Parts: sequence; structure tokens; C-alpha cells
Amino acid sequence: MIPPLQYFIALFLIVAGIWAIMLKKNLIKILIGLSVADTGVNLLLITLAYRNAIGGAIPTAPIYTGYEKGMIMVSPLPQALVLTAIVIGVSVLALALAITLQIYRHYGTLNVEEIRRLRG
Amino acid sequence: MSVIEHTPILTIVMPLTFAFLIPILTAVKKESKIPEVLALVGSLCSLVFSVIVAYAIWSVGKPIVYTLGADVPTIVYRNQEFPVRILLEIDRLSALLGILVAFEVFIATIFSWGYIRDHKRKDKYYTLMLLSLVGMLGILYTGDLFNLYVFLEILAISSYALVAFEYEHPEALEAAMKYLVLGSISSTFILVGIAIIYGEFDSLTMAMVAKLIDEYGMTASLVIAYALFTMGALLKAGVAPMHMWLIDAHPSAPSPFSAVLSGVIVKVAIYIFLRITFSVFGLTNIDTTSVGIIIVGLAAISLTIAPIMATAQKDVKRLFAYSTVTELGYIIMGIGVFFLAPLSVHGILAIEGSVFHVINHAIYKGLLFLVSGSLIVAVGTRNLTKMSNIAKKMPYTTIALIIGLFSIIGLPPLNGFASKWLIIESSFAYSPVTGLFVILGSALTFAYMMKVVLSLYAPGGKEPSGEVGASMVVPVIMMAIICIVIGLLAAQILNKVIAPSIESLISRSEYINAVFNYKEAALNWSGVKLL
Repeated sequence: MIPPLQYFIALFLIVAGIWAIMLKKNLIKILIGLSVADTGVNLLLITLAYRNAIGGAIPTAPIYTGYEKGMIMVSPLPQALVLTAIVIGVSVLALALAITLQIYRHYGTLNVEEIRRLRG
Repeated sequence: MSVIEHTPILTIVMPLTFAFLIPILTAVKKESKIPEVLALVGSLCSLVFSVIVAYAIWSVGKPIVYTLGADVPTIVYRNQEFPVRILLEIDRLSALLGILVAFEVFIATIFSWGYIRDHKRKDKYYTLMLLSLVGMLGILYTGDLFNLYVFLEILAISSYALVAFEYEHPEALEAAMKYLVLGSISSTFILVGIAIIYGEFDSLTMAMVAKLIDEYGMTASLVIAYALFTMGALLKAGVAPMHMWLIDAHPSAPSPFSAVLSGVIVKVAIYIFLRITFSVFGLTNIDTTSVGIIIVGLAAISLTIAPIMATAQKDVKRLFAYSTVTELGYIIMGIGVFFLAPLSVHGILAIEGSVFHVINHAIYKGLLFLVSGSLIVAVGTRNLTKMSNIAKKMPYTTIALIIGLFSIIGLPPLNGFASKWLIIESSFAYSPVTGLFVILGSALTFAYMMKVVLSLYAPGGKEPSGEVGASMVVPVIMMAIICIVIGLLAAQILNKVIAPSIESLISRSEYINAVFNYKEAALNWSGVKLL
């Protein structure tokens, strides 16, 4: 059976990322938090791919059918999902950094408490 | 297989193709009308195809399934053949909202012709606009959970970029940053929810997951997944008290895109919630009372806080953004009442009112945001107190604006009245308390919208130079006419369009069986009656 350690690490990364997003004042640190949370989700997805052939509702991986009982299988689907999720994460991060750059040009600071022209 | 059977995917692919043709062709020939024309053609293609799809579904009477790619692999599950690949599954609700989305983007594109006229980055603007259309249509049509996430992110990234489009103004950057961070959190929630469902059932197809949930029942991890989906979707929708990003982001975007954001993008998030609840998890598997209480509570907050904040606004676009939160309160209230009294007469009436309100709000809020764009072009300010003599100098725009304002207040015979009345009546039938909140929201809406009406006639301030160009008047007048037409034909639309959509949303077995008989459920043109 797969040790549940990876699940805890994934959960820790997601929680740590969201904690950073909510509590940090520096925009760059917020974006690092975003990236860490993304990594946590990707780790969760990859971990879910490893499973016993007997477990789950549909035990057959779509490509490999010659499995025996008790074998540990790696489903190829989550790896495809994670590749997509990584690409999406990179594009969000690139856009976020571009916006951060422009914010720094306009405000001269990255502190979110000083970037407050919109209110009410 | 003829081309017509591929209409569902063409609806999504056409705007995608045109979106990436725009930068290529603009690089070849700069300073031309190429971006406008291509964007117009792309969104028009989408509109036509989505109407065809909806027509086919209405005449067949059940959901249609489009499988992408080759005929293999399939697996046999409980003697039923099941396609292992990405599916599009379209029922009447998603077809209806598909038309709405394509129409709204089409109107916004026409309006942009005058609004964005000589902007140096206009090719990028139109590309992102079409990409957001791709994302929305994908979310509405898909039958696969991860595909839903991918389209959600296409929609999200293009809207973050468009909110930051006028990056000469620091406010736009700030709003975009808020939108991006909160949007990413909500996407992360949804992705974790999808991961949990995948871990539980090894499947991402919504119908397969639904069938397996019915067979194996809810587990603790599935409850967490449902909570994550709900939280993600409501955060994306911007329901109070999670509305702070919406108030900043919607006014900061270019006005035509504000119309799209407020009119349809928040509704797409509501649609995700409905689809996940009704089709994937199913009403019988979730605790409808507690979900209903939470949703009615959020609706009550939206209906009281947002209009009170709106009365204090001077910026016309910001005022309309607050009004969007109020209107989201109505929509959510209808859904919440349905959860509290599932499948009862007034429960069904409430959710019909909600979906009707989704359509009506898209029309009149689109109109209002477009008119705010006209005011920005003509007067050069968004501040209500600095405008004067609008009514005299811009008669057509003013007529449309007043129809839109009366519609949002809920004066009969305009469309806002029909759907608001349904929600008020059904929530009052459920409990006087929920009814009271809806009436309170309605009264406060009247208060702050009258402020806009008064400022049209008030003296002292900048006067507009004259009526804006035809490309900015025609879409607005069209929307106003649609407001009146929907208002007059409300009963027919409710019986012929809204009620069947709700029927197909609620009937979960129909949704599941369509995928397991995917060969019969394909869009078969011979079964469609031509009028």
C-alpha cells in the first residue's frame, strides 16, 4: 500500500500556500504562495495515480490490461493532468509577475497595504 | 458523418481559431480593421452554431453527447459501453446559456468597434475577448471534470489580462491582481475537488462519476470535494461576502468586457455550481437543507450589504458592479429556496426564477455597462456628479439606459419584473423571512438606480459633445428592445424555454444515460425536425 506521507505533504503544501497568500504583505511572497499551493495540488494528483490494482471502482488502467492482483499500478491519466496543470500554473504566474512589475512601476512598492487606491 | 454533427465542438473551436488568427494577420498588416472583423466573425460563428445546437437539443428533447477523437478506447461497465475520452455533453440548460454567452460577447464585440477604435493594443483585446468566449462555452458544454478546469482557467486567464488591459491606470493593475489571486485560490479549490473525485472513482467523466456516486454512496472525502467545488464556484461568482474582488475588477475592465464579466462570466460560475450539484453529486446524495441554509444566508448578505454600499458610490461603473452583487443575491436566493424545499412547487418556481434572472440580468446589466462605456467616450468621466445634460445630448443612449434601469428596478412590463416576481413570490411562499430579504434588496435597488436616473438630467458638470457613433448606439438599443420583448413574452418564455431547461437539469438519470448510450445521443441531424 502507498504510505500516506505524500498526501500529508500535499495537504501541507496547499495549506502553506494559502496561508502565505492570506497573511503575507509582499506581492512576490503572495505569488510564491500561489505557486506552492499549485505544487501541492500537482503532488496530490501524482500521488493519486499510484494505486493497487484491486482498489478503486474501475481497476483497469486504460492502456495496460495485463495486470495481476496486488500489483501497484500507475495510472497515466493524472500525469497528463499534471502536465496541463503545470502549464496553466506557469501562465497564471507569468501574467501575475507581469502585473506585479507594472504595479511596482506605478506605486514604487510591493507592499499590499500601500497599494490601496481602490476602496469603498 | 457530416459537418453538421460536429457543431458542438465547432462552437468552441471557431472562436479559438479566430482568436489566434487575429495576432497573426495583424502582424502582417498593421493599422487595419482586421481585428474587429475577425472578432465579429468569430463570435458570430459561435452564436450561429450555438443556436443550431440548441435547436437540435430542443427538437430531440434530451441531452446530446459529442465524443472527441477516435472510436476507441471504450470500456464495458455493467454491460454498458462507455467512451474513455473527453466528452461534450450538452443539455437544454447548457445550450440555453451557450446562446446567451455567445450573444453577449457578440454584442460586446460590436460595441468595441467604436469603443476601442484606435487603441494600439486592440488586436490583443479582441484575442482575449474571443478566448474568454471559448472558455465560457467550454465550461457550459463539457462533460468532463478536468476539461471543465482547463476551460475555467482559459476563461480566468483571459479575464485577468483584460481587467489589466488599461494598465496605464494603476487601479486596473491593482484590481487585476486581486482578481488573479482570488481567482487562482478558487481554481485551486476546484482542482483539489476534481483530484479527490478522481482518487475515489478513477474517472473524470461527469456522468460516470455520477453513476458511481449513486452506486457507492457519499464518502467523507466526497463531502469535502463537494464543499471545495461549492466554495470555489461561489468565490468565482463573487457572492457577498466574497465580493471584494468583483467590485474592483468589473469596473476596471474596458466597458464592453465589463458587460461580459458582469453579464455572463459570473453566471458561468453559478452554472458550475448547478451542474456539479445536480448532475455530478445529485440532490439525493447531498444534505440539501444545510447547503440551502448556507446559500440563503449568503444571498441575504448579498441582498443587504451590496445595495447599501452601492448608494454611496459616485463612480457609475462601480455602482453597477455593486448592483451585480445584489442581482447575484437574487439568483442565489432562488437556488437556495430550491434546496430548502427541493422539488416542491415553489422550489421549482424559485429555481426557474433564478435561471430566468440569469438571462435577464445578462441582458440588462450588459446594457448598463455598455452605456457606461458610451458615457465614458462621450463625457470622459465615470463620476455621476460630474455629468450633465446627458438626456438632451444623447437621446438614444438615454432611452436605452432608462429602459435598462427600469428593468433592473423591476418595473413591469420589462424583463426584470418577470424574474424578480418569480423569486419574490416563491421565496415568500417558502418563508416570509427570505421573502423579506428579497423585497428589501429590491427596494434598495430602486434607491440607488434612481440616483443614476437623476444624474442624467442634473445640471452643472461636463456636457457630452453629442451622440456616440452608430456601433455604440445600435447594440445598446438592441439590448433595450430585447428587455421589452422578454418582458412582454415572459409567460411563453418561462413555459417553453426555462421550464424545460430546469427539467433537464433536475433529471439526472437522463444526463447519465446519455453518456452510456453515447452513440444514440450523438447529434443526429435526421432526428431533428426542421420547423
